[in-house]
Amino acid sequence: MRDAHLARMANQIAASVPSRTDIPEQVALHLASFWTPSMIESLTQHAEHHPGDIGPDVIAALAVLQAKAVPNG
Amino acid sequence: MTIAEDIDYGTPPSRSTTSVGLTIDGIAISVPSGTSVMRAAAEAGVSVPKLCATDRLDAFGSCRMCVVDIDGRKGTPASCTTPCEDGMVVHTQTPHVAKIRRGVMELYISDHPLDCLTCPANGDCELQDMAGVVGLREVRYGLDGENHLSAPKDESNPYFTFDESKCIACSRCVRACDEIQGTLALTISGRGFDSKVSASAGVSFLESECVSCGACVQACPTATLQEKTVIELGMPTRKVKTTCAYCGVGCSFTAELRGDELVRMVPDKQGGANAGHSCVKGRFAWGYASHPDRITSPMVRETTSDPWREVSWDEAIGYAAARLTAIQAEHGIDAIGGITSSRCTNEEVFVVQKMIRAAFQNNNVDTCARVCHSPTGYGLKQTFGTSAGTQDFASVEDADLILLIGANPTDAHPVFASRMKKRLREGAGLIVVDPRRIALTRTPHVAAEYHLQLLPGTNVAIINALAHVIVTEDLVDREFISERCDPLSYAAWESFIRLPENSPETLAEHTGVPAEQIRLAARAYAAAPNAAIYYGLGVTEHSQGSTMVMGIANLAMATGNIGRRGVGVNPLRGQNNVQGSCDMGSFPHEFSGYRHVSDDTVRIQFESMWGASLSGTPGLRIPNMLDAATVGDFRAIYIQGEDIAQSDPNTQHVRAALDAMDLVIVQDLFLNETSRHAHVFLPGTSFLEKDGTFTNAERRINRVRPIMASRTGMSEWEATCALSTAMGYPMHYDTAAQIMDEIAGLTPTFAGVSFDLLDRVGSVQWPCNDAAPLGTPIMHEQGFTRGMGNFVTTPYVPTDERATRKFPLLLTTGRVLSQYNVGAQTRRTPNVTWHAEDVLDMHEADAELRGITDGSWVEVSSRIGATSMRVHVSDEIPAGVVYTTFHHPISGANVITTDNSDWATNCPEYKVTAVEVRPDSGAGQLA
Repeated sequence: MRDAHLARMANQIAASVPSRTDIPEQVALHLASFWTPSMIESLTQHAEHHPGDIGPDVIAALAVLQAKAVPNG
Repeated sequence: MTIAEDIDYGTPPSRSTTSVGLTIDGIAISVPSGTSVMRAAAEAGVSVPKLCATDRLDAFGSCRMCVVDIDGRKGTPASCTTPCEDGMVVHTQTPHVAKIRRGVMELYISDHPLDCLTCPANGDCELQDMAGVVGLREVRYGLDGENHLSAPKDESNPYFTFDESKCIACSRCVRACDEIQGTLALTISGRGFDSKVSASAGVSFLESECVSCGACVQACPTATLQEKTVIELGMPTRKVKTTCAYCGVGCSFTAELRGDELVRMVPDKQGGANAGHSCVKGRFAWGYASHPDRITSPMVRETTSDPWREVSWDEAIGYAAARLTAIQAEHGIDAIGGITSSRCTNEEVFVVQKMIRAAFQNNNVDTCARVCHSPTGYGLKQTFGTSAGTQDFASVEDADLILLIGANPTDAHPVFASRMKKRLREGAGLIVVDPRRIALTRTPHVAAEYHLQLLPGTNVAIINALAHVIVTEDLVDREFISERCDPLSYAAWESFIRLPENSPETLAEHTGVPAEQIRLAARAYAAAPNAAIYYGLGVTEHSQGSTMVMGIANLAMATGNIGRRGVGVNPLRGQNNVQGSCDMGSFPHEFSGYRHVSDDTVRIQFESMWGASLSGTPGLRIPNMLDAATVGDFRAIYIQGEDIAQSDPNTQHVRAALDAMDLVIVQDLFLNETSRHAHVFLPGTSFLEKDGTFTNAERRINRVRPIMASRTGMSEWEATCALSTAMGYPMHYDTAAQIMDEIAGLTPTFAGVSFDLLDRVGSVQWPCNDAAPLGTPIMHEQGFTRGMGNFVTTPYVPTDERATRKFPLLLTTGRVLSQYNVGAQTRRTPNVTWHAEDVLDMHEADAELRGITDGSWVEVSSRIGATSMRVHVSDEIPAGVVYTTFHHPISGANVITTDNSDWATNCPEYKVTAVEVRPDSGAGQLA
């Protein structure tokens, strides 16, 4: 329930971030700014087990975060 | 503190910038052109007798008590209706005018009960005062002639009595209702001797259109309109200035007491937010503070099935601290958190978030703004750089056009609504964007030029369509944009908004609003010299709430409607201190002053001041806490003054989450829906017991002063400090003023704020610092807080919540005038007279289709749950939309709202729920 909700929230963020040219970067920045590390970790694990739940922009955003391209804030 | 008596200058001030000089009783004085002789005299220290005049109302000239002699002028003109002229020589006290005044007073008294000693207004009656001032010594006509002394009293209103026998037909009540409140519920019916004050068309006050704002009571110079508490308790003997604890207008009041007993609340004429006006809640509905339901002792219980056990403060604090500590030891630092309250003071909120960050050692702090205006904070920070509205309330007086979006001020912000209505009566234009036909679309002497009656959930489509017209028809303010806004962001936004997908014609299929109406409204907004946007929860409580706020900011910047009086972006905040609770660092990603926890420089400053190591990563928001609880990751919560089991969406989910926690601590005035799931109850204090500050929707920081001792034996901030100390992080303050000093030391926008300053100047609007020592009424005058204004592209993304065959109607929720939020306060006052239950407003066509009649019970079901309520067949909403309120827990409105939320802030999408409505017996209401 919780992880599915996180996936839904992340997909919603990807659909709504203002710029449509660098969506993964913006999603990554948003997650780093407003989500707890444990939420991001749960989403990452959910993406691994249920890749169909999560859109490509969110997957890409998680990769950005994993590469530590986006510092907190 | 000492409170100076208000001087009544008799007539309002003139706004003229030219002046005239005259002499009054030998005193030379210069006043603005248009000033009345009466006001000029008062400003010169000369008091002219008066009855029908008061400086909050336009001059009327009916009582003839204020007549004066003016050299070279025939007759004895009324000083209230006579404007000053250059060189005028006025005599306010001559044998001639004194004789006239005595004669007039003699007539008044000949038809007035001579019961001064037993009259409730004894000592506070202008008729009594003026009889003394004019030297009335006899009534030659006797008292046996035809009179009104046996006229019946109207006791129908729960808060005040109308005693017609004491009425002098001065029309002050009628004019107050017209000019100040703007309801026009009163009139003088009949002629000559039969003239009398009449509510609506001769019905009782309760049956009339009267909204019980109290303006008529305030204006009455006799005991004709009198508070029932004054009749019962007697005249107050002392006064304390304080601030209302209801909506985000934050009205200033003078609490008038006998000893420690509150007799009445009188709106403060010097109040920056309300300028002497009030509504039925602030003026009268304060009785909840002494309601027998108040819990004044701490209570604990091991499990939620156990009965509550009253304990000492020490035991309650010790129990809570031990369990919180044990839970963290077993489940980790992040397993606990807390919620601050927008009903509490800045100081109370500040110490709770400090406790969570320093004693709990995490950032799991959130506030009830999460479920109302969190998108405002996000959206305005992205565009302007500051998470707050741009104007003071008085700014509306200079607006030429008002764009009102998703707000119903006459019910939710009634005192500001009166100010707005006054400007509208003066001729300002009005565009309403709302699915409902709210009162302001058509009310006495006010009518919206355009009512864009959109389908719920399509705000962003509307704002984009408005902007599309403004850009494609070249109605933008290019000078403002080039000087004040970031060119790259503007270029990107302009390219986006020009796209055909944003045209009114394309979006009409989503919004349901004819394209031509949008085009006309957009042109009107862009053409107005000063256009101001006001908005409410109808903007924020959507899946695109933050996008809509940014769309509003884009529109204001594109047309240059920022940075001066009469314009701006104005969120009408819900609760009394929702702005303040956000300012104080209640969000899990921000310290006070909206600075991110990951900012090392800021965090080190807090760590140094607090002597604690602080987390640099965001904490959980309320919905995140609840989600985490359901999977066992979040085990304990401290809830300050919020009833999330009634106010938050998807009640079943909230209750399940609370039940899953090991410890729920509730700090509140009353047991509530949330405390059903609690293990520790810490009694809270009412606003009448608090010492601190509230910050209203215009960023105005007002003092809240205690008028009586805490009924719980402890202030809320003291209880919080005790809990923090018991958990191993000592917190101590001697006074609330010390907390504000700490806030000022850590928060640049509050750097100049102190209790001393507020006591000296009344109130200030932040930013208040060295650059603005007396505050900032209008923001972004020279430049935006972030530097250049930032345009943000706002693609319209339809909500997932759509009407379907199974759930074909869209439910939207809101508030009524007489009740407040979850009703914890107002349900415990006579305000239930006006709204005893929540009902479902439904269009006639939808009702007929389902065989539903007005007043019958229905079941309202969504994909989340179902509840029952009565139907009110109404033409205020379009077919396909239904509407209800959430003031009563029994109606369970949030049983059916979903956990959809704003993409950026998780603010719930209260305003759009797909439902079906069926006839029902009413058995489905919550127990």
